[in-house]
Amino acid sequence: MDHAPHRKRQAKFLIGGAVIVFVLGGLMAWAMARPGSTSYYLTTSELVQRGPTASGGEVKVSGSVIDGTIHRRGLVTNFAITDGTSHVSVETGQPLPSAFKAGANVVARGSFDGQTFHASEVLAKCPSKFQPKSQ
Amino acid sequence: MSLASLGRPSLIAAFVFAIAAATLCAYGAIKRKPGIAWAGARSLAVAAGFVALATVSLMTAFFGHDFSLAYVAAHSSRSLSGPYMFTALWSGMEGSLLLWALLLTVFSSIALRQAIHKNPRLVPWAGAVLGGVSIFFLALLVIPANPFIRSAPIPADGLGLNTFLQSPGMLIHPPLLYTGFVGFSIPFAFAMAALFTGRLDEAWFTTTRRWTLFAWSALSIGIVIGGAWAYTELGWGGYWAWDPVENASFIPWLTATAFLHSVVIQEKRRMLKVWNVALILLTYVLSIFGTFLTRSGILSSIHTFSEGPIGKWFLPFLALMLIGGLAVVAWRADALRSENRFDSLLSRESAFLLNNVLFVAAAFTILWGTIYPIIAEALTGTRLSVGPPFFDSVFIPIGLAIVLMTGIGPLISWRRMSKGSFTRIVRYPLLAGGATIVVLALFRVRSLGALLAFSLCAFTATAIVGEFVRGSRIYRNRHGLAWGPAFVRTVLRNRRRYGGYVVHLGVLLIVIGLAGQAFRTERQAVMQTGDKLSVGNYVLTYEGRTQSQTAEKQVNTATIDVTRGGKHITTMHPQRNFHFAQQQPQSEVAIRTTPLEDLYVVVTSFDASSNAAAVRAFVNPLTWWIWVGAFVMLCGMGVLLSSSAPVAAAAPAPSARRFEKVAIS
Repeated sequence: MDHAPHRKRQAKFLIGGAVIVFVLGGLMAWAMARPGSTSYYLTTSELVQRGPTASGGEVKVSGSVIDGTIHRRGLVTNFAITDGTSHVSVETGQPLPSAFKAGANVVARGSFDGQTFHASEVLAKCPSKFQPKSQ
Repeated sequence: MSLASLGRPSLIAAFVFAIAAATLCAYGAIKRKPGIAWAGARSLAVAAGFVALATVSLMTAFFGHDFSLAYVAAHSSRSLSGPYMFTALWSGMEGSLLLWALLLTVFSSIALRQAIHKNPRLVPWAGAVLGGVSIFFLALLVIPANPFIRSAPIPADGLGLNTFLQSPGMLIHPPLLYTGFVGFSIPFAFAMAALFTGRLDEAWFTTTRRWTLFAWSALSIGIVIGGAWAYTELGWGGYWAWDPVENASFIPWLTATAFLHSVVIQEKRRMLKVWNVALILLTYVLSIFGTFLTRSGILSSIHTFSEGPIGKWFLPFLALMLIGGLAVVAWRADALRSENRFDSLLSRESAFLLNNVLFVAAAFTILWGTIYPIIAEALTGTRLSVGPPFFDSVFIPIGLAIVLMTGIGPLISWRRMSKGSFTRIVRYPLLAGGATIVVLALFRVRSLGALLAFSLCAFTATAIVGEFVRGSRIYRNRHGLAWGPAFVRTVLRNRRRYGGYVVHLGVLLIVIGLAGQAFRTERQAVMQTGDKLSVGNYVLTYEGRTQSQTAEKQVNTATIDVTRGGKHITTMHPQRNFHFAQQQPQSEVAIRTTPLEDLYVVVTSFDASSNAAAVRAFVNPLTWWIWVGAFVMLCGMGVLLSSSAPVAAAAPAPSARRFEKVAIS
């Protein structure tokens, strides 16, 4: 006799749960599709190999800053990064991170025209948390 | 014989005693001989003593500049001194693991000792689990991450400590995070003990309640201090970037927060037993996973996956904890059945459940974004990175829903509530939330996220204040107290409840501070002496550079005059320095902070030939409230931690009468 209302409650909880799962799934799918949510993360060799970035697309490229290639003109900085086998010239009008220097490992986000990588952001690998890679 | 030479033998001794502890406890548990298990617990205390000796030994080597130890040479230098020696101790992997092992063995020994008096039946298995976990961390220190490796040849000076770490924030941030992560081992071990013994009442979490709260508080404050460090040291104007390393600490925080709330349902209504065991298991595994992510190098660059020196040790351990834990839960599934059912959708239980679902959903989505690059690379061979837009998009809606539930939850009564009484109790908070939206819209606040955040904070704050008023009114009416003393007595007499509300208020202040980011402005320019730059309502005038030199660094200080509406406000001195030992340039940020907004100025470079400075300036509204909110949370945590553990499952009626009864006891 108590069964009917109990079933009804159970159904309510089930529907509630289904709604939550559905909303969450939708939220994640929407978030993944937003611009800037995901981008390719390449080494300099891979970037050179893939060639120019499709227009409007952004990729990330990582490498270490080559000594002697850093040139500043006002807010614009040019430098080259390498993964040890090939190098890419980077140009950015954005401020560089505090830890930026020759030899630093950086990640640049932006687009590649085949010659120069135009970075909309340059990050240095977080200096606090990571061990030097080789010693 | 120097103290440093004692380090390695101490760690080996600690390792042996941890093996003895785990073996004795497990044997005592299986053979039901508590005496043997007590000996195991004491053996773990001996292990703790040896780890402490090893830590003192390494510390002595640091203070004595003993560069014959490779770790000391790699993380400090002769010019380093004072408290930053401690920062140096845990700035590398080996030292971090040593700190972890120290906290683990010390916490375990104390928790087991306390539990022998309070809840002896769970001690043998809990001791076996804690001993087993200690074996793992000590094995790391003995084999792949030995902090006492000798350097050859012995260098004249060390490499020095990364200059970014030479900051008060980094002195306390890592130990707080580790205290949090390690602290969760205690409730985890007792949950496992409850499963092994089949004693699945609420004893396992009431015995360890203080440890859970302590660990959670340390983790919470540790995360905020990490953000404060990033804000004041790194010079990019923000405090949280959804970096995998940050996420690694935030994900277990979310599941731990869910756990803190859901145990209340088990305590009051004997429900959600499986869920609670699963949550603490998940929290523990995620906190180990976080350490694995940050320390294995897997995230600094994804293709260093296999190069991580301790990564291959962590993965089997993680798998054992997760699969073993889940298997034990499945084995006990019958005994974990709820003793009650949900009576109504509109009940405190349902509200708690929804709160839990939201926290776990937040944890899951952030975990997804964090490990998606690894999954994508494994499946498709291409490396991806997941950026802040993803995390903001998923977390902001879930976070706002959590804020809403923080307000609604405490207003709903246990078991069921009529719609009429719910409407009555919720009308003032609704009024406050609605009024906030209207007022802000009139002031042309256009950011939807910020509008919702402020409005929901007003809703929830009103609900919480209402709870305080209702509580205090009882003391006013019964004892004729003034509002002030009545308020203090309310909080002190029911610390668990009102301490929780104080924590909630702190969270709301943090949310307000975070929402302020919607209105942040940023400007940058290369400035010659005399140039002006306007940002927000401020006008910055660059008045030139001064140079000086110390033993460690070359100092370049910019002088920047700040006016607002033509009136001089302050003069700021951001620096761009060069540290000789590390060959490292570093910006020192200048921040003028007020409750309304921060003016944040950083010089990213000086021109070598002229005095021109590349200046970046931010106006960050309401950021001050984040730090104030964290302080309020800390006060609430103090109230919670000072409350005594609940005696037994109390009747589920948070009425004035029960409130009085608790007050007397």
